Amino acid sequence: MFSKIKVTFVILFCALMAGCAGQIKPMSSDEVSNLSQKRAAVAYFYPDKKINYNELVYKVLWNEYRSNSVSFAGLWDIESELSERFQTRFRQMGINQAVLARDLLNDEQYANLQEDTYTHIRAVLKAIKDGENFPTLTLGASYQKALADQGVDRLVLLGQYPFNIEVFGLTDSEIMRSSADVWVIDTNDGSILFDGAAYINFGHEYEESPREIESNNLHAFKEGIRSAVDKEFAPERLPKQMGFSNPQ
Amino acid sequence: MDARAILLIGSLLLTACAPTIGNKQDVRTTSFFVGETTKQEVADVLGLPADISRSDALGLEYWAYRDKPELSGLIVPVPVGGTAVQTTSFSTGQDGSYEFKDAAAIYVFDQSNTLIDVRYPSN
Repeated sequence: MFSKIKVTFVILFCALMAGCAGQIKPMSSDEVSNLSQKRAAVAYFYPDKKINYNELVYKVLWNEYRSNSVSFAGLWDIESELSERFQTRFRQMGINQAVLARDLLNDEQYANLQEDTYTHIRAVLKAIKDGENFPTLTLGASYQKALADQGVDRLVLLGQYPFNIEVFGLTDSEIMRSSADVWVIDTNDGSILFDGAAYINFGHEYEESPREIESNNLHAFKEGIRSAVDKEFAPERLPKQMGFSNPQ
Repeated sequence: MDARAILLIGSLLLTACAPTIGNKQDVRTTSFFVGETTKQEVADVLGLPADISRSDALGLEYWAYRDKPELSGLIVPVPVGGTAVQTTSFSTGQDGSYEFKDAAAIYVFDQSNTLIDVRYPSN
């Protein structure tokens, strides 16, 4: 029964991912060439700062799903760390002049960019919950103009969806699944040149408790996220999705 | 298969499991030292809190813990005739997200990350 549920879950997950992947259109070779040569600002945001655990609990006559959400707000500056990590990886991928948006925008402009990204991610989650159409990303003009004025023609923006950990007690293992929206935006006119996704998934085996992943200042969790981001830059993944067929 | 093996398997099948994603220890029976225990020590003993909030004006940080994981769904076997059974899933509408009413304990830290107070809202 457990295996059936796990298989069903995996099939549903794959179907969902395939559905998302099917809608992603790579950038044209001209646009890839532009992105390789022009200055591009990178920013990563995660509004939740939470880890959501889900567990199937065997109760003999029935099974229960239990959920628990925990916060790491203020304990790990994930936005700064992953902005830098994505910037480095994007440079290696071929966006040769990728810089951090944080270094180019003043505090107010950066806070507005952050808030607009948070608002969009939350609106998407609400739309999923309510079964409505996904909203379109809406960004403010001030920080785009500020970037364009500094010769930064492209904004590579990442918005993270919640980190969900599925716990499989029978095997003392857990799987973290999440994704981040990845947009490439033309800062001169606000048009969205690319709308894709980075999948942040990893597995972890624990000894006694699935929450060991939080121990030592989130050591295993952070390492899992870092490793998952790096894996997403394998040639056949995000680079291919974006149209970088020959990543450098 | 001998009788002992059948008994062992039968016992395992009849043993319900408890959720393992809750706090590492019971917040109602875990003690800390006000004025000494640090945030990191609380996190190491209990795990991360359900919610973290701050008062910049007071210079305080509040860590709220729920009592146990929320029930978010059920899978129940339903007889459909003869010996056939099919499973049906129900959602409770809960997803583990935190609301203040869920708080079983709130730990208050000062700017030096030291525990200065513990509150139990439901008491």
